[in-house]
Amino acid sequence: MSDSDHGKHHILSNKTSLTVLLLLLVFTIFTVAIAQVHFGSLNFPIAMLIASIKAILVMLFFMGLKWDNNENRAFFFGSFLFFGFFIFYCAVDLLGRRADSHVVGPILKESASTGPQTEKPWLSSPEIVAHGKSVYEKQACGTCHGDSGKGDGPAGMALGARNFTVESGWKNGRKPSQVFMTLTKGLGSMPQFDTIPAGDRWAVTHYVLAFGPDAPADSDEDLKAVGIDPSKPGGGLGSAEIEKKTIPVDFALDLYVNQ
Amino acid sequence: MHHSPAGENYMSYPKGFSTWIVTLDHKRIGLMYLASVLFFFLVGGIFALLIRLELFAPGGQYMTAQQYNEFFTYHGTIMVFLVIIPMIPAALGNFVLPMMLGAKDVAFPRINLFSYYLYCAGAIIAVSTMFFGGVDTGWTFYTPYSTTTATNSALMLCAAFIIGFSSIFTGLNFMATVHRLRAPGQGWMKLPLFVWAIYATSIIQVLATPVLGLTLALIAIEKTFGFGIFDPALGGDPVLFQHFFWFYSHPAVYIMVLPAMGVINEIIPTFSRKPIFGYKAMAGAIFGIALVAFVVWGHHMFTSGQTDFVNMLFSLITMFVAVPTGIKVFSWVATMYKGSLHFETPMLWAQAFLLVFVIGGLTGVILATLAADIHLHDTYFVVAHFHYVMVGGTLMGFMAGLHYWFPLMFGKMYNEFWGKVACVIVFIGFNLTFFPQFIAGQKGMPRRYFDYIPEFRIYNELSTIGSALIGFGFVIALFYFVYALVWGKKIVGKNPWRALTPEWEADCPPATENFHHDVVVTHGPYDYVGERA
Amino acid sequence: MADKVTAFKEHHHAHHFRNDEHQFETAKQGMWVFLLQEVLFFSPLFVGYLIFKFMYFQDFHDASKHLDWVMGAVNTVILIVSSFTVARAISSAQKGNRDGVVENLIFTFICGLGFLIVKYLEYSHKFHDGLLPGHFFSNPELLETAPHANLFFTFYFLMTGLHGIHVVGGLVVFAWLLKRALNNEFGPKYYTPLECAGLYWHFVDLVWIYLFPLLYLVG
Repeated sequence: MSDSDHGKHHILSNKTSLTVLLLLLVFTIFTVAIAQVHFGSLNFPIAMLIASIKAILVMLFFMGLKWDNNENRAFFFGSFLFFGFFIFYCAVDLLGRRADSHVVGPILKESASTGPQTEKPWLSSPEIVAHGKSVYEKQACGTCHGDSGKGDGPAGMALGARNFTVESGWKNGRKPSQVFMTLTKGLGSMPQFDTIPAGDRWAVTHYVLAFGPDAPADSDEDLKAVGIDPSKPGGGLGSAEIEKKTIPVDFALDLYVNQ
Repeated sequence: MHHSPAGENYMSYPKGFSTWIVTLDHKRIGLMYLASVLFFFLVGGIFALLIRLELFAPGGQYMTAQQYNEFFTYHGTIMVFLVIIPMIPAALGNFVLPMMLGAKDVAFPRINLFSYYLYCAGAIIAVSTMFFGGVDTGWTFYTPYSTTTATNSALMLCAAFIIGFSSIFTGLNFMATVHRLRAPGQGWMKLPLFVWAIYATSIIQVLATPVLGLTLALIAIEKTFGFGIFDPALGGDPVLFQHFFWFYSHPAVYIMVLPAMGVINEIIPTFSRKPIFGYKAMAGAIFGIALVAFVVWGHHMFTSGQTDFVNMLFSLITMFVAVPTGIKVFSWVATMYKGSLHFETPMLWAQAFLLVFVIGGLTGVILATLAADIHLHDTYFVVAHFHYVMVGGTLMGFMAGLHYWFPLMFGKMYNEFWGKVACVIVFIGFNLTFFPQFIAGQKGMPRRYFDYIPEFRIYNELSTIGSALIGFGFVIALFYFVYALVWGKKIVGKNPWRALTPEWEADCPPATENFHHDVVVTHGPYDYVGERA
Repeated sequence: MADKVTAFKEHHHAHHFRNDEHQFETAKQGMWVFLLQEVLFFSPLFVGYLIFKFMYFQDFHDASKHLDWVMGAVNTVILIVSSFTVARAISSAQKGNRDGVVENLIFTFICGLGFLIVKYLEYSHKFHDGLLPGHFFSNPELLETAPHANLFFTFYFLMTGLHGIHVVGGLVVFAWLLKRALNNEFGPKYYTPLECAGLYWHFVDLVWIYLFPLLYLVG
């Protein structure tokens, strides 16, 4: 405060101001000239560098920051720091998201069942059982249920995994629809697996049922009781289910645009 | 400006209504702000009570869903832009900040008046939207809804733009005032902490508000002309709007709460008759909060599909806000420890502030946690959290400050007994209103919904009863303030609280030119030791 | 510098300042804080532009080829020169050269006007070619090859438009200053409004210094 009360004002001399003007004009010509040459990705930083040199010349001499007090310098240069925060986060997020977006496609595609396509997945077949085996292994079901479904996996004891090879091992019934719902909703310490495609869940159902004696078949009523429509392909559990629960922003934007 | 004749003060001299509307006196402008803010507090409060009334029971009772949407939009917009943000800086700050510096006025009195009229213009436009189509976007104006809604969001955006510039000019004025108009002997380390708080607030106002202004202008342009920056159909990106919006609106949270912390900083040492614990740490914490404020905005967007990296970064840095905030709370408690405590009304409000602010702050840490926020986002938990900070923090800080400086402003004293009663009622009502909302939110009740499932009924009933209690408490306050203004006894002498900050060297109420002498600062603002204790 | 002695009007500092110098420094600081605000006021447009530029790199590149860099360069020179003349106006005032102040202010005003005329020519050309923001965009060639060119022109019009509004504001201020300078108000003792307007005008120049390469050269 008192430091500047008796300060003498700096007077910009003709010589300095003319020199700065000349430099600014030269840099302007320079930046136009250099833009005609192709440096590929370097064009942008070069242009920004020249602009910043010009800007600093204006700030220091025309705006007089060279002779000004530290407070005013701190204010003005400080504002660029906050501009920096601003652009940093926005760019990292939005451009980062775009970089992610090429991954989004395959993830969505993968979440459709890769197993055999069938209209009535509640009926077993050797192909579907084989696919079930691969899902069973991929999802590491054996960690609890054991490789042969005896409930003797490493974590099976602690969580009380059932023995699928005997009929009494089924807490929620042995009809495919019942096993399917156990997979979908979970049961006790059995977690729900609704994040894997319905086709895969049917496949696992048939695979684990094959550990024990032949399972009873589903009637249409049984299916309807758990919300499956036997008249529709895949029981009406079609593509709506394969979408992930959280959808990527770009996918959401596409949906919005398509409306 | 002329010196007031003996026996006259800033309110009585110069005389006449016309001298008020063109006044350049910071005290009068402060009072004009105070009156306007209190009026809009009443308006926003009525909207709040109407919302609570509707939510008393599930299903529609008294209004349609559309009316409900408009009501909570008006409640939010009015409370945020017209009440909470200008409440302490523009109303109380305008009055006491120059006096705390021993100055005769703020640096730019004309800009100060201009900023008040900008506020009025913005306020009038904001209210006029009620008659020109209403607004139902919520105070956050999220696109694409705000650019496609049939209601008149563009007009409200203009209003917020203008009010934003009122806020910027206030901040600009205070910054230059603090830098340039300090009394002789008043170094930075001898500033009252309220000045520090207002100074930090001003920096945020000047840095962040222009971004909001331009962003709102962009949304208004988008709505009117369809330029497409935020419209994915034209290649734009709505999430960019959220970034722009929260770049302002998160720091705005600190525009709201820092001044309240400043008020508490004044009151606690004065009523503990003890120097404040850790002055430098306190000043540093204020600045720490102001700085960190600018790099945490993304925690409002954890569920907007930000990339995981940015989410993690924002979550982590948000946790850091708790550090300076913790320093402040501990320092307040340490200041009171073994002090000679006087529980007059201002101190009582300060205690209420402390209790609710701690709850508000700690629930903020919960919300900053990435995984927890996924569950709690857009539930009543969030509503409860920010009401604990905004109402519990800012409003209670404001009430504390108003009771503290009331004798200085008007030269009269309110009734101490009723002051305490109002404080206790508001405190109980506040907790009754918002604590159940934490539970309801944690159980999954979404915010901004017109209806809810019967399981949440008990929480909403408690909440509505609580809100009525808050309203009742403020009505009591209104009565004893008006009573004090009209029939109250004049204070004899000056400085009824025996405070040491320079503003109390003035008469109650101050003379037109503030002080009869040139203020020279010789001791720290909180040197309550020896005979000053 | 000044051969003839001008009788400058006396200026009294406001009651809450200690002296003229105190008032000058405070006003200047206020202006700097205002510029701080201005940087952030422009920032969302820069942030948005840069993000979309890298998001739709090729489209923005193609779209920017439709801007006339000669006109941009002419405007750059105009603004730089006007910045220079403002600085000259201030130093003239400091030296008590009243005519120097008036001449430089007139020249600055003409530069600002020239800038707006060039801008007008540019805009009308863009309107004619259908190079317009958002859904008004109707340039048949770019519609086919660069689907996001509309966004480029959204930013082009918003950024140059906001900058143009600042130029218009500057012109109003300079007209007012000119009137006061003719009235012998600015001399070595008091030239605060000149100093503040100068800072503002240099800032307007600064923005253009970045806008020119960003939009016209490397877009």
